[in-house]
Amino acid sequence: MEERLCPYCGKPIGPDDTSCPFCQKELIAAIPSPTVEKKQDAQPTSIDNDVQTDSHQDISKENDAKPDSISASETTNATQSEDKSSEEKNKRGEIIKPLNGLEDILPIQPVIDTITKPNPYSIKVNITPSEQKNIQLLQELSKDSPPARPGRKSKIFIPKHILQILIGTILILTIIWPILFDKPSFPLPEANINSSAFSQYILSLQNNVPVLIAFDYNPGYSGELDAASLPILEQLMQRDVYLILLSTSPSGVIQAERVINKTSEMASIPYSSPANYVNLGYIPGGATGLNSLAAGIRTTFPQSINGEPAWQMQQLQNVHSVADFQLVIVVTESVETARAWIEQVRPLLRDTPLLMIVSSQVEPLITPYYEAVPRQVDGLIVGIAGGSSYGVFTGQSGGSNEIWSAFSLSILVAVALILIGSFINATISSSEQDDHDRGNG
Amino acid sequence: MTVNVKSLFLYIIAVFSGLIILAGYFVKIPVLINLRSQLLNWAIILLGVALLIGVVNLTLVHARKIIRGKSGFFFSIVLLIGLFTTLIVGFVYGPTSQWSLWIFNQIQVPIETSLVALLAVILILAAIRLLRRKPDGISMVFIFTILIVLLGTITLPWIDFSLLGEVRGWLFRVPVLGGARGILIGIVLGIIATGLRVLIGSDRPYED
Repeated sequence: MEERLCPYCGKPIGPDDTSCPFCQKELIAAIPSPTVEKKQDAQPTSIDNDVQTDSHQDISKENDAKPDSISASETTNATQSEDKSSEEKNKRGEIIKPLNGLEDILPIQPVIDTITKPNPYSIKVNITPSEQKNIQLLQELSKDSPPARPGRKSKIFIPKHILQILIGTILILTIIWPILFDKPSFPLPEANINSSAFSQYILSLQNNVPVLIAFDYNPGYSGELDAASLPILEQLMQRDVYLILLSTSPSGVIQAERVINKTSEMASIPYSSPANYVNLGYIPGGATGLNSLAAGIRTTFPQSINGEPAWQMQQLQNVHSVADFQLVIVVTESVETARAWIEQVRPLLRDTPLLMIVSSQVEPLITPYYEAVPRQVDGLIVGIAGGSSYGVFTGQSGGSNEIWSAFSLSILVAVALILIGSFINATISSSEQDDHDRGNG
Repeated sequence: MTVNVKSLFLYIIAVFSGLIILAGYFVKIPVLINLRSQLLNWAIILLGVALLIGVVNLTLVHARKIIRGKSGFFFSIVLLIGLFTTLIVGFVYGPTSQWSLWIFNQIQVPIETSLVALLAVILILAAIRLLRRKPDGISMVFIFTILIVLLGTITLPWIDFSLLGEVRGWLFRVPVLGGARGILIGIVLGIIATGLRVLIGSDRPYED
């Protein structure tokens, strides 16, 4: 018995199936089974070929004399009468439910009539020269960069770890020298527009108003971000504002305490909890946690990190949402954290400004929010250079300004190392390439 | 056709939660907003619990390593001592006590800062070796840009580098800003696509 296959999914079906048990599609009689056709195409016997050729010749003769519709119908019948398997296929009749079992109900003629040579459509796309250039540019960009040359044994060979130790030692000496001997002294950067804009927000604060500060950075970046945030915190303490501290990083909670203590000692302004500030602690969940904080800060943080009620202080009586703070400052080294604050908290701040103190590595991805119109970040201080510029603007001497010379000298030495090292390596690489070319030649 | 009941159940929960959170932004119905807030609070609690589970798992993994005497078990001992010391100090004296601050200031900050400082050395070394491994135009442009950005950041007592500062500023305002905006738009589109995939059930991360 001939095996039937579903014309849609190609899987075997039963002889009486009206729909495919695999793809659930209804089987239409007019659509021939691919197996039957495949078998005919794949294994034609010589007799079949002869018969088909003869029948085609006969049919073409008869077709000349008859009308189109009749000749088409007869053509099919004639072909099927010569071919046994085709006859069987015809005998199966209709298998659609209302016509089940009936033979030759659906005329095949309209189907044949509609089969014509497809219209020739051009598949060529009209591309202008500028579009062509853009395509080439995109192709260039999507190409993988050529692989790095495999390391060859060089005449001049310095082990990698010795070079690492050498660079590290030079950098350490460069950083220590200006701190120990106060020489050379690098001029402090000029106060820029970012510093003045940032400072205006702090100078506009009244005494005892609540200011939210998020210490969202890891201890590894404390060298940079402590220095950048110290002059700002000092100014906030001078304004005698009430600080509310929190963090989305587990170590940020204790980081906040450390920086407040440090600033308090440096500025000689006593600041203690809960009289001057409250540490709300760690909020887990990243963006989700911030969303919850923005939706309801009192429900998210009912208690401070020390387990005391967080909202009992007089200064916090009117704070019911993040929009009730006078200022929100985020200190971070992470793009994701900065983005989470902008996306989750900023929309609910209304008129409360959102200021950021960020690491230099975050600057490129946060600047678009600062440069946007309207601004999504109202003030931005970037790294040691930003902190130093802020210190110059406000006339403070601590923080970034103390380490500015060491910072500048180490960068200068790093530039010199890269220049000298690159020049030596480029020369060695060029001579190796020449040797290689000569060897090949 | 077989339907995985567990999978369907998870799918319904995920889609329901997602739609509630999403609808809370667009429709200001108090019930919806409260439901959204409740779901978010649950999410935060679960994430906090996940952190605790992580700590417990870390402890168990290293405890097993010590018991079985596997290589590097000494470091596991140091890790567990550090973990329990910090934990005890935190529980007994409080997380912001002077002892907790001492541990943080004298151990955690120097170690993590040193690791970041090592990064500076490695990056300088990588920049130096770049022209050895890939001496082409792109590498030259890369090195040149690094030098401009670095020199544009600092001030020198002998030379006026303000021009380099302006070049650095232009680099940040034009190519870097353009690239950064492109990256941010790409991130947002990716987030939208991922959210939609989860909502329509074509991506089911909760089944893993």
